[in-house]
Amino acid sequence: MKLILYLFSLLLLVSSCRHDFEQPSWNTDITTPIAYSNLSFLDLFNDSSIRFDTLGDNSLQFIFTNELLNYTLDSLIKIKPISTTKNVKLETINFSNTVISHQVTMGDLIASIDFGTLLFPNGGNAIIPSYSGLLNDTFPIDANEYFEEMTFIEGFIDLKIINQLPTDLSNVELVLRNENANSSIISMTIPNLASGQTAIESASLAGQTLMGNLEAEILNADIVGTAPNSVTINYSDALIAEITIRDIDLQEGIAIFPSQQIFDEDTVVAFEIGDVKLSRVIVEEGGVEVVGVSTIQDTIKVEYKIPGTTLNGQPFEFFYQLPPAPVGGSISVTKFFDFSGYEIDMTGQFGDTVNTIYTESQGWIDSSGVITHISLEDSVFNTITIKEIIPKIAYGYLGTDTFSESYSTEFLDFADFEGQIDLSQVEVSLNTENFIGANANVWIRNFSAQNNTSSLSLNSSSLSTPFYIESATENNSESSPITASESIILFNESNSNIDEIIESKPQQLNFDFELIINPNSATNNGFMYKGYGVKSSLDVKVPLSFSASNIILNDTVEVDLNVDDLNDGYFTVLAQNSFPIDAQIKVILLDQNNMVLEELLSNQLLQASEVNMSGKTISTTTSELTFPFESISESLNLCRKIAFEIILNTQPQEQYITIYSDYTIDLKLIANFNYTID
Amino acid sequence: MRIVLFIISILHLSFLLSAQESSLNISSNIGLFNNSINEQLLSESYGFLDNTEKNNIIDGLKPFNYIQFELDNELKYKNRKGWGLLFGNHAALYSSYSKPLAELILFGNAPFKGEQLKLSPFQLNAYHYSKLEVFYQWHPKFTTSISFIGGHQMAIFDVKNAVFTTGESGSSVAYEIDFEGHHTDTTDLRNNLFKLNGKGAALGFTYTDSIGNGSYIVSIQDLGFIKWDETTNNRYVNSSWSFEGINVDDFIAFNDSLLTSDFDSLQNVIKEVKKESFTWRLPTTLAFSTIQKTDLTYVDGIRFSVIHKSGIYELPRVSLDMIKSFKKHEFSLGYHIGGFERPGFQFGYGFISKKMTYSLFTKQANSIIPSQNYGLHLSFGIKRVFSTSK
Repeated sequence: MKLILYLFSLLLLVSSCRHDFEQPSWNTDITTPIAYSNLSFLDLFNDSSIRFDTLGDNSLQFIFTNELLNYTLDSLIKIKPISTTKNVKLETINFSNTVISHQVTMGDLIASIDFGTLLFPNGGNAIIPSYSGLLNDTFPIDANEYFEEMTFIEGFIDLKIINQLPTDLSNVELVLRNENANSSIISMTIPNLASGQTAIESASLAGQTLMGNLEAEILNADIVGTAPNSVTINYSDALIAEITIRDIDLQEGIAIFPSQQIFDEDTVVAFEIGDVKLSRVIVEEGGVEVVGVSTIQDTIKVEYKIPGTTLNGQPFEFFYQLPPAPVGGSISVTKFFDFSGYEIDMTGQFGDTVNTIYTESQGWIDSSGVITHISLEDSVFNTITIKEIIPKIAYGYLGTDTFSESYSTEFLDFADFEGQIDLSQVEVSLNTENFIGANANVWIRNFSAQNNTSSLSLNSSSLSTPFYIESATENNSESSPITASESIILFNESNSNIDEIIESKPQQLNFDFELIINPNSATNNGFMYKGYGVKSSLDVKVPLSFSASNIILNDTVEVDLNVDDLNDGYFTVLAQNSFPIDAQIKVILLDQNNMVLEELLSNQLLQASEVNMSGKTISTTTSELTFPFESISESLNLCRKIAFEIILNTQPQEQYITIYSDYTIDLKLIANFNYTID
Repeated sequence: MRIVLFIISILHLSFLLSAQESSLNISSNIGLFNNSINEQLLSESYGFLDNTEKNNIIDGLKPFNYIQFELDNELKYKNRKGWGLLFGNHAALYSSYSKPLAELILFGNAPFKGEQLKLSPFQLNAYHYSKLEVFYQWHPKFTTSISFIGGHQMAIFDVKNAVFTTGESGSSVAYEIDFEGHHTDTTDLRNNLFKLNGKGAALGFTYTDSIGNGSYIVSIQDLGFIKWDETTNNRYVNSSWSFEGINVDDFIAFNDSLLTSDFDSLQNVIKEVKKESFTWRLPTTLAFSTIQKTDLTYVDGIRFSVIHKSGIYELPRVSLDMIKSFKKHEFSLGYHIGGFERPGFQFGYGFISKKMTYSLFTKQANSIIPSQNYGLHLSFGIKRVFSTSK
C-alpha cells in the first residue's frame, strides 16, 4: 500500500512540473482575393454628362455634354387669371293675376233667421219677404293660398258681386280691406242688384300692401223679397264676391312666385398678355371658378357658357344652383368648372380680335312651390374667374422677348489633373434647338473658363454677331408634333483659343448670352407647345490623343469596413495593363472628418503597355504592386473614405498617344494579412 | 472498453485460478495520448507561438496524426456461481488529422500560394455512454455478457475529402469538401452530462484456456450499437467553392458587404443540419492476450497482447510485457506499438492478497522523460474477494 501512495505522489510531482496553463495563440498569414475588375477608359469617368465615341480607327473621343438652356412655353406665355363680377338686382318681380272668390249662400242666410229652416225648407216654395240688415256682416277672405303679403308698385283690384240669390238686393254697400285694417282697399255701393245681375268695381293697388288675410264687410244689403211670388228655396244659391288682382308690378312680396329670369348677360373677357397676340389656345390646365351670392329666398339657377371654347365641337357650358337664402341673410356658393383639353377661340364673339373670349350667362328664380319673400332689394352677385390658363398649345403672335442668361457649368474632368496635358485637338460646339414657331437670335456675350488661379475668356470672331435660328415647323403628329430648327456654333483651335481653355484644366465654364424671340418680324402664325421651347447644350469633344506628364488623378470612395485583429500585411494589386500609360498609385485611408489614418504606398509602378512605332499597344504588361501596412485593423474600422492618388505618365514621353476602345486594365485586389488566433 | 482486461491481464494466472470466486471489483482508467507531439514540445507551446515553435510542431507531425482521450469507470460484481453484474461509464475521443490541416491552421494559406493542400482525411469519434452489463460464465473457459446502454453524448465527424487551394499570388482561394457529421446537442455537456440521448445494447464474449506453460484469453467486447434519438444533428456536405474576389463593375463603389454575402453562402452550406435519429455502431474491441511462464532469473512470465478497436484503429495495438513477482507484489514492464498511441513503454503493478487485489497500470511509462512522453495514462483496480468455491 505504501508503494501505491508513493507512485501517486510521484505522478502528482510530475504533473506539478507543468507550466501554468496559458492559452496558446499564434499568428497566421492569410491571403485572399478581395475584388477584381476590368476597367476601360470609359469606366474612369463616372459622370452622366460624359460619354465616349469610338472613331473610325477605334480610337476614343471624349465628349462632355451639358444642357445650358431649356426655356419652355410655361415661362414664355402666362395667361393670368381674370375675374368679372355681376351684381344683379331684381328689376321686376313677376306675379300672375290672382282671383279670389267668396260667397254667402241662401242656406247661410236662412240659418241666420229664427226657425228659418222650418219656414224655408230647402227645395220648398216660399215667398221671401223683404229684409233689411240680414246680410250685414264681415266675412274673412283667405288669400294665403296665393300670397301672404304683397306691396305693389302697380296693380289693380277688381271686386265683382254676383247675385245668384232668388231675390233682388238693394242699397248694397260693401268694403274690402286687410284683416283688422281701418282703411279699405276697395269699396262698393250698389243701389239695386237684381237677382242674376252682376256689379263690378275696380281700384288701383299702387303703393298698397295686400295681406293674405283679407276681410269683406257688407255694410248694408236690403233683401227686396219676392212677394207675392213664391220661389223655390235652394240653399246653394249664393251672393258671390269675386276679387281679381291683376296687372301686378310688385315692390316685394311674400308669396309663391312663379319661375322668372333674373339676368341674361353677355360678357367679353380680354386677357393681358403683353405683346403676345393669341388667336387660339388648347388648354393644358384651366377652368372657371364661380362665386355666387344671393339674398333671394328662393333657388337661383345659373347657366354659364363660353361659346368659343369647345371640345369635340361642344361648347364649354355649365349650370349651377344657388339655394334659397336664409331670411334676412344671404347664401354663397363657390364652384370650379374645369375646361382642360378645350380649345379656346380667342378672337372674340365676331372673330375680329385677339386674346379675347366672350361668355354668356343667364339666371332664373326657380319656383319652389313654397311661399317665399322676394323684394326688389334682393340681388345676386356672380363673380366669375377664369383661372390661370396653362396652354398646351398656343397659336398667334408670340411677341418679341429677350431673355438674358448667365450660366455656369462644372467642368471637373480635367480639373482634377495635376501636371501638364497637351491635347492634339479640341472642338467645342454650342447647339441650339428652337422648338418655337417663331424666329430667334442667340447672342453669346461672354464665354470664359475658370480654375483655382485664373480665368480665361474665349476669343473668337464668331462671338461678334448673333446667331439666327429659324422658326420650328409643326408636324401634325402627336408623337413628334414639332420639327425643331437647329443652330450650331462651333469653336475649335482654328477659329478660337478653345484649346488653351480646355488645357487650362478649368473647373467651371461660364456663359453670358441673350435669346431674342421674333427679333425682326411679327408673324401671326406662330405657335408654342407646352414642354417645348428653346434648348441649348454645350458639347466638348476631345479626341483622346494627348501627351501627359505627371498627371495626378484624385478620387475618393466612401467605404464602411469592419475588420478585426489584423496585425501587419500588405495589399497586392495585380494588374494587366494595355494602356500606354504608367501609373503610380497611393492609397490613403481617411476617417469621417477626412483626417488621414494611413497612407499606403507601393514601390512598384503599374507599368505601361508595350507599344509599336506609332504608339499603339502591341502587348499588355503585368504588374504586381504591393502596399504594405502594419496594425491596420483600427484604421480600417475607422476608415470612411479611401482616397486614391494616381500619377499618370504617357509612354513614350513627349509623344501624343491615342486611347483606343479596346484598351483595358485587369485589376485584382488581394489582401495579405497577419491574423492572430487566440 | 473493458479496462479490466488490462488489469487482469497482469494477473492472468491468478485470474484463471480464481475463476469460481465471488468478488467486487472497482476499476478506473483515464488517459490522454497523441502520436506526434511530445511533452517537451507541448510545454514550449503555451502562450504565443512564434514561427520556430510552429515549425517544431509541424516537424513533429506525421502525415497522419492521432489524438486519443479515454475515461472509463466500472463497478463489477461477480458471483462464484459464474454470473455477475457490471455498471460502467465510458467517455472517449479519437481523432485523426492530416499534417496539412495543422499547417494551414498554424501558418494560414499565405505560405501555400499556388499550392493545393489536401486536408483530409479527418476523423473525430467522441462519445459518452453508460451501460449495465449482465454476464455469465457458462463454462470455466467461456463467458458471455449482454449490456444495456444509455447514450449521453456523441460527435462523429468523418471528412472523406477536403482540399484547399490558394492560387498564384493569392489570386484565388478554393475548397472542395465532402464530409458527414453527427452530433448530439452540445449544450448537454454543460447542462446535463448524463442526459439520455440514445439507447442501445451490446454483447461480449470471453474465452480463456491454457496453452504451453501459460494461458490465453480471446475476447470480443462492445459488439453492439446505440440508436441516438431524433434530436441528433446530422450534416451531409459535399460542396466545392471557388473565390476570385468580387467582380465589381464599379470598382470604386466597393463595399465589404459584398464579401460578407459571398462568405455567408459558404457558412450556410456548413450550417445545414438535418435532425433525425442516427444508429451508431459501437467501436468493438477485439483482444487477444497470452502469458507464458519462464524459467529466467528476473522474468517470471512474458505476456503478449493484441487489441484492436474496429472503426478507430488503423493498426491493432500490440504489446509485450515481462512480469516479475515478489511475494504478493507483481510488476510488469512492456513496450507497445500501434493503436492511437506513439510506441512506448508501459508499466504495471499488482498487489495480491487472499482477499484483496490492487492493481495500477500506465500505458505511458515514458512520462518521466518529457522528450519521449506523448501522453498521460493511469488505470487502477481494487478487487475484494468474498468467497471462493475452491
